[in-house]
Amino acid sequence: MDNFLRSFIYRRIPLGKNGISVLELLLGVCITGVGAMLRKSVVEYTPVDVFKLLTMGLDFVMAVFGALFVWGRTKSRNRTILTYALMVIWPAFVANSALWGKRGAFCGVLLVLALYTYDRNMKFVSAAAALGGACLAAMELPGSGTGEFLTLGWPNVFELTGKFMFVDMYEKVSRLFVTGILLCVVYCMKKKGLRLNRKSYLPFLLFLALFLPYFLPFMPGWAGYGADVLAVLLAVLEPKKFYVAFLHLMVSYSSYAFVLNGESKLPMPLYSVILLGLMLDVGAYTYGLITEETA
Amino acid sequence: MNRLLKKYQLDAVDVAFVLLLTAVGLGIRMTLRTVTTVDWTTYWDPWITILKEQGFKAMATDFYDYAPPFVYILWGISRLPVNPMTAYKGLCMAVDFVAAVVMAKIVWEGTKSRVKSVCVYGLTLLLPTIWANSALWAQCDIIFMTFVLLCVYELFRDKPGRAMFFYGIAFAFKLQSLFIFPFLVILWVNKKIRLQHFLWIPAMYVLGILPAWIAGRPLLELINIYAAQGAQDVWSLSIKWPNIYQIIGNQYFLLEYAEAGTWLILGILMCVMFWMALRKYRVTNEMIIQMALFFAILSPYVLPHMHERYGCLADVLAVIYALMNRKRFFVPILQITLSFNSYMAYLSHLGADEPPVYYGVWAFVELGLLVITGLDLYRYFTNRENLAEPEK
Repeated sequence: MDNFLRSFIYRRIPLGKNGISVLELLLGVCITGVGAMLRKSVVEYTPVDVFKLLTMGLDFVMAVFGALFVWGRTKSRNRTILTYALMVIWPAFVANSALWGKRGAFCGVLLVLALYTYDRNMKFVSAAAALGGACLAAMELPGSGTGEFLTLGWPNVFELTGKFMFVDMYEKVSRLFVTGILLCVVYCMKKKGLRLNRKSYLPFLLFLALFLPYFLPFMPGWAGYGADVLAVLLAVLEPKKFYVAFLHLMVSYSSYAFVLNGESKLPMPLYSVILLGLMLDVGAYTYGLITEETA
Repeated sequence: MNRLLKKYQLDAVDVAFVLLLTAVGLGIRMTLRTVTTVDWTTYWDPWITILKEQGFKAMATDFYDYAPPFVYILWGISRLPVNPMTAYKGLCMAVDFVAAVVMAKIVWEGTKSRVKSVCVYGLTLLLPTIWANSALWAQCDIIFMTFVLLCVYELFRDKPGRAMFFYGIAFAFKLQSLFIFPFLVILWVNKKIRLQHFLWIPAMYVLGILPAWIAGRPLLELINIYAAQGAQDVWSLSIKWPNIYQIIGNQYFLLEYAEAGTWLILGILMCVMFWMALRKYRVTNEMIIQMALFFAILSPYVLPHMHERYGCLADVLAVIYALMNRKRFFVPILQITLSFNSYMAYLSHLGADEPPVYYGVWAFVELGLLVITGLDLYRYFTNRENLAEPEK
């Protein structure tokens, strides 16, 4: 009986081109159930409508695309199934769709679709998905002059420098500052002949997803959603970078809690410092990759 | 006497050390034994009074929400012609010494170092979270912990049947023994344990509730006693244990996160167990203790409603872990410090004030320990030398 069961969990089921083991199937089915139950336990916190249910469904679609993206990169069944599992139970995604009723999953699906199609050389679809995701995110973000404070919950630089003073002025200044920094990055890359390629564009995107909400004004509590998605994918592809995903999740989740009920167990500036550290770490890692590849 | 010393390869210095540390351990406990805590006045004392007045037939009523084997002990105490608190604490304190002996035996099996195993006997008696649990707080966690330690000891000796027998008893006493259950599943995958050994768990549980059932308490109530226990103390997502809820917030989403937290740990355990079960490994004593410690830290880190004392299993496992891996000497130091801080947050502040070092800080320390033990396991599982030889 023991040996039968032990060998049974490794038995391959002829499904698709590569087949799937019972263990993998078991994880896939069970984790989908756990993902559904996780969402069910928090779904009634905000009103439930068709739109919310659709967003929750999109969480799973995003996980499938994430898994396909990792499969395309690694051809490892284990990492693929683990990516799906992680994305299905990742608390920030569950909280965004089921708890808070936000539309992060729409942007998330388009972002992961863009990555997946880019890897498959479907440049047009990729660009369209990326553009669509960016537009959706921009529509969701609060517009100019909407906030009393410079941050609407995201623990960014304004948690350190102060969020109550010079709101009107700093709003414009920070937008210009971000534009300036991005121009500097483009200039340096052009001058040094640095190119992004398949290995470095994911961490580069993650760096941007950390950098932009860190310096832009009026960032809501879910401003780290994109970085969460990218950090999970990076953690699976580069296990040494797992801490980025987990620390970012902690920051992300704490800002959700802070916005939803005003509770922050630790001071928000602390999370801001953590984000700064993550941004520097990912930035240095990306730079190392780009220069290494260019050399 | 000489034969005994020869058997355990002890000399006069070892014996003197053991005797002295026994005296010191006893001294600490005797000093603390008179403290009366809220747990004693709210639970154990009234329960013993009921048992004294109504006898064993009181087991038919629902005045208790602990596992029946523990209540049988209280019934036994109610029959004794001594002060109940002295008898109760005396029993738990005696089990402390048994646990210390088991710890010494585990370390002997794991390291074959006489010095380390004799030392760990003394260290266990000095561990603040051990003496505070039994002698000061009047808690009984040492009973289930001793059985878990016996399970580890028998696994070290490659006696899985006995190991699961002891684990079954631990489960019959306390639900917290489930914290480390996933590591037993991984040991099953790696052929260390057989499926039939797992039957000890329900068998011991059924055996444990049988007398209470005969006394008249409905079977369904007895089967669901752990579920009923879990439904209490739900006023905070973390009851002073420095876990993830001390970072993300423990006062809101009480209903939502109580359920979601349980599903989340289930999902995490599924992923971890899937990854660990991908290949078959050489099962070493080091791997056993690493896995047990990892799960003993991980489970209470994510589960909601965790109490101050729920790190005590990780405390003792961390000591063994450090003695088997000298570079990890800091793991038990940090683990026990944060665990004791949680104890004191309850014992000295009685829930009113915050402790001097805020729980969130300790939650980050615990996260660090989780990462360190996790990385050690990762290194073990990714080292090709640790793969089991293919079957012929």
